[in-house]
Amino acid sequence: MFNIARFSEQFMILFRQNKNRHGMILGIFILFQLFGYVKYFTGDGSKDLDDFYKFATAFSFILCVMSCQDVFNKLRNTPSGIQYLMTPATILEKYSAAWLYSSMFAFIATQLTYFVVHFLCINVGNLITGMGSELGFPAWQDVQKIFLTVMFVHSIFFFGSILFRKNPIIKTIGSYIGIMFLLTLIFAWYAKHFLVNTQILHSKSLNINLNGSLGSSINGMPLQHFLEQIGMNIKWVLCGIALLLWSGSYILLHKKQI
Amino acid sequence: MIELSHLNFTYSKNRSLFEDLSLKLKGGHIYGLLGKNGAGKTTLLKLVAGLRLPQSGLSMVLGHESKKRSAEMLQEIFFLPEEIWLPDTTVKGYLQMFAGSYPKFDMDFFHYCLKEFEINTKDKLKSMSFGQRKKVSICFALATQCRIMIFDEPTNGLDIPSKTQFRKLVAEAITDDRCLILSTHQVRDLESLIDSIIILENRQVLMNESTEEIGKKLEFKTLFSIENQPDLLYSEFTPKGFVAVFPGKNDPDSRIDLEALFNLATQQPETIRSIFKH
Repeated sequence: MFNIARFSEQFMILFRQNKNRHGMILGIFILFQLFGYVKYFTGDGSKDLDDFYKFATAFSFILCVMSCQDVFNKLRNTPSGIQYLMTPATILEKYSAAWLYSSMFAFIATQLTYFVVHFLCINVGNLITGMGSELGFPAWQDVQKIFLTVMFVHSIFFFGSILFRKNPIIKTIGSYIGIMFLLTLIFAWYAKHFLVNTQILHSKSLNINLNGSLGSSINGMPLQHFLEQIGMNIKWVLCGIALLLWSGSYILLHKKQI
Repeated sequence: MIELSHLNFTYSKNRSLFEDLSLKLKGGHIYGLLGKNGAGKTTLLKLVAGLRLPQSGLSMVLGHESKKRSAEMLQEIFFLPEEIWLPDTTVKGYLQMFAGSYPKFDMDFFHYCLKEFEINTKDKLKSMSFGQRKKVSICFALATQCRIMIFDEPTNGLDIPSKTQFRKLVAEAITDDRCLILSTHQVRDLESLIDSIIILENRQVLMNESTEEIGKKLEFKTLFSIENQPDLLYSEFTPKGFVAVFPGKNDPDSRIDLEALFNLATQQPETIRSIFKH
């Protein structure tokens, strides 16, 4: 049975263990941000405010990788692993606490910090310099896209953090590159042997018409629509992969032996 | 309290560690788990705690299957490993972190134990010596009031006065509904504490007997000479003379020499089996 009290206890253990380290990282992030805003208001104003959000997004990815590693840090060696697995809570409660803490820290904490600092700095900067810069928060769709991408990265490193006992970040990146390389080879082979030989040369069903960007089409479908369709399919595939990796992480944690 | 039945466990395909191992442990006892290096003492303890999963067989703890690691089971079992881990905080911070997970945690007893071991609660755990950190872990383990406590080499790293304190605190903490398993090579440290002996040998439990039963069936003597001793089961030479083991005279209070018992058991397992067959 899932018990909220035990789950909260697990969450608080993670929080207490990581608060100093993660607090310090967020502090560095804030300092970088402040430095950027000082440069923005003291310079000629040519710097794009969007760059700050890009920086915050990059930080989200870094923190995502770090927090995934930190929540399962105890599994790296035997004595701390024993302590982790023997703490009275079900695997589901431990897993949920780790999942929530790492994803919350990776996305919510960084985004919230960014927005608060951004809001304060722009207002204070405007007040002091009288520049009248607009807040210019990013579009909701962009935030959503970043959220989905961060969560996808989270699923990969969350899985790697349980799977690999030593150097999980390096091994996860290595495995990821390896798998991507393999998939590229498979896809290239598939494209060469199946698409080209079967569809174009034999059935001649693929009709590519490239008459400038507006009139381009594939099999009669407008190019932009075709690309959107592919984009949507890739999005669903990535969501599926993320769910699979999170489920796999749970199973791995369940079977973990120390 | 603990029941292992027909347990099979292996680390590699070529070498099995336990074959069809069965064991029953009851409450109100302090078990001493003995075995040679590599006999699988720590692994057996991990199988009980659900930290290792057997290839086949069943490990039940207080009616819960160990491998499921249910919260109800984990609230009643504490595993203190030989090498301990403590977070980078103070004793107070450690308590804040983990004490809440144990519903029966006795704060007064924890502080009492710390006082006995002369540990300051404001000290940083990372700045403590290995022995001091071990003492903090022992205090925490005893204060959880778990019904099953598993200590792997608990006296390693403790100084002589601390070993005495350890025996005192364990004796105070143990009750009829609790069971403590101590795995150790330092048999002399815990000789006076243990009331049941488990010996692992050749992938099996060779012996699981109370000291009372052992005292009835075996007699331990120190002799100057072992000549003309037809009943002698085992002897070893020490600076004080020969430690000799003889068939017992049904004296439950006879003093047991754990080292001699262990050597007899590992060198003559069949003798032990025939003496203690039920």
